[in-house]
Amino acid sequence: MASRAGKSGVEATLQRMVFAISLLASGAFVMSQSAQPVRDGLSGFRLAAADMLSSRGGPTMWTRLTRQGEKDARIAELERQVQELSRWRQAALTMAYRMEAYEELLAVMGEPPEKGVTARVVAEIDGPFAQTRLANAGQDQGVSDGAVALNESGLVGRVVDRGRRSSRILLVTDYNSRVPVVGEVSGARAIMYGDRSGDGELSDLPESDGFRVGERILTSGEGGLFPQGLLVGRAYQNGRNWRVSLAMRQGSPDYVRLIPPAIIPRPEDDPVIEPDPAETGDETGLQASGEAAIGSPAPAPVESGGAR
Amino acid sequence: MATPRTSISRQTGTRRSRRAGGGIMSRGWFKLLLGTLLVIIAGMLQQTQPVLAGPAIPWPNVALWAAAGWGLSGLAIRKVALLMVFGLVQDILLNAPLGAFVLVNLSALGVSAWLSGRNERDGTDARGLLHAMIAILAGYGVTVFLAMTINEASPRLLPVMGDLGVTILLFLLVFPVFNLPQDDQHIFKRR
Repeated sequence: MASRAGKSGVEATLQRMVFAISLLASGAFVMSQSAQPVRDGLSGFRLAAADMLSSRGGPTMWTRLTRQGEKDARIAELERQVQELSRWRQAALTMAYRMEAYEELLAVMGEPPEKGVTARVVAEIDGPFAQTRLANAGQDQGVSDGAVALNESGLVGRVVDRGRRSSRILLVTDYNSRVPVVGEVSGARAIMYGDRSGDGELSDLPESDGFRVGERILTSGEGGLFPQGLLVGRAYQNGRNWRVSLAMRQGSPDYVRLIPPAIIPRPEDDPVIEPDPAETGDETGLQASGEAAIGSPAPAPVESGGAR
Repeated sequence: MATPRTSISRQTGTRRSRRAGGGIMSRGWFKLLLGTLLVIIAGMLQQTQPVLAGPAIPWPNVALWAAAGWGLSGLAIRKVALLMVFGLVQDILLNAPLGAFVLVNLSALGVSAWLSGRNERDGTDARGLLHAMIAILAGYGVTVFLAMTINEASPRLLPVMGDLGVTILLFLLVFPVFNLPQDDQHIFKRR
């Protein structure tokens, strides 16, 4: 009996120690992730595990149980068509805005052509830490890092984690999301971030000539993460704060289109490669410059009035 | 003759108690396995939420059911290990920092075990249920605290409150599954 009691005592102490060590270790582990290198080191494991746990290739458990595959396929086909049409409508509106901007500013470089993939949302995480959605397309399907997510009504978010077969989209409603936006009518620029109400909050507003109530809010394209002219929502005023009623809420939550970010390389990252004079030869160079001198008209003096 | 008979009766008694102990252990293991399966199934269903009923419905934190229920019977290492695994899976699925939900689950387990050890069980489940609910509340408190600390902003409380409500309401139904037999050595038990 004594040995049994002793054994129980030892076991209880062991349990207490294991519990305390586990609790402290998990707390320390969480705190250690405030350091960027630790987060970066864990991201590989996290992505691999998320791919394994969350991605869905085939039919779901529900469709298997209820045999609704055929109906679901038909509905999915119709939904796809509606979304395709809505996307075209959205693209037309966006193009109209761009056209207007281009007419005002001649010789402006346009946005890169849109290309991307449509993915199904397999999970929505509306937890206390982050508002994200998981889409069933990843690197294998051509989703690029930082891709922009849209539904048929407007901007949904941005890809923050990309696995082989799945991507995690940080919604624009998340507190950590920052989207540079512009008012369609007023032209006022601001930064939009998510808040607890599910709408967007505008910050860094201009001191004068603010937004107009009801005007459409579009992405401004500043910073290069989002292409210019994507519909975000409509502006409204709540007290002294300007907020955005998000357009994405009018669209389907089940599908998103993932398009590459409009990243424009810096000049030093994409330098112009000058031809080497040693390779072309002096004679050719002279000949070329001579032809240029003959072929091109002499520059008119500024005060000659030749342009008039 | 007396001495051998006493010895035999002692041995028999020991055997009986071992058999009884073994029965409790196997019932405990069975319920632990059942609870684990319930957590896994509920977690898998959570992943099919958009297919079932749309993405916005509140969903219970099933790992907290396990933590709060299992804690009533002590802090066995197997429970700690299972809750750590559940926590890591939650961290990955909910995009939380790794270890955050491990901390939440273990906190709830600790609170539940502490409350249950401080108050002797009176043979009914009502007090245990109350302790488990307090542990669930504590778990959510830790969740919100961690979210505030890590994000440096208060989380959206409406979804959290919705999940908490569903967790507690459904826990009333599944409580018997997670209410295990008392461990032989409850570390907070009054001796």
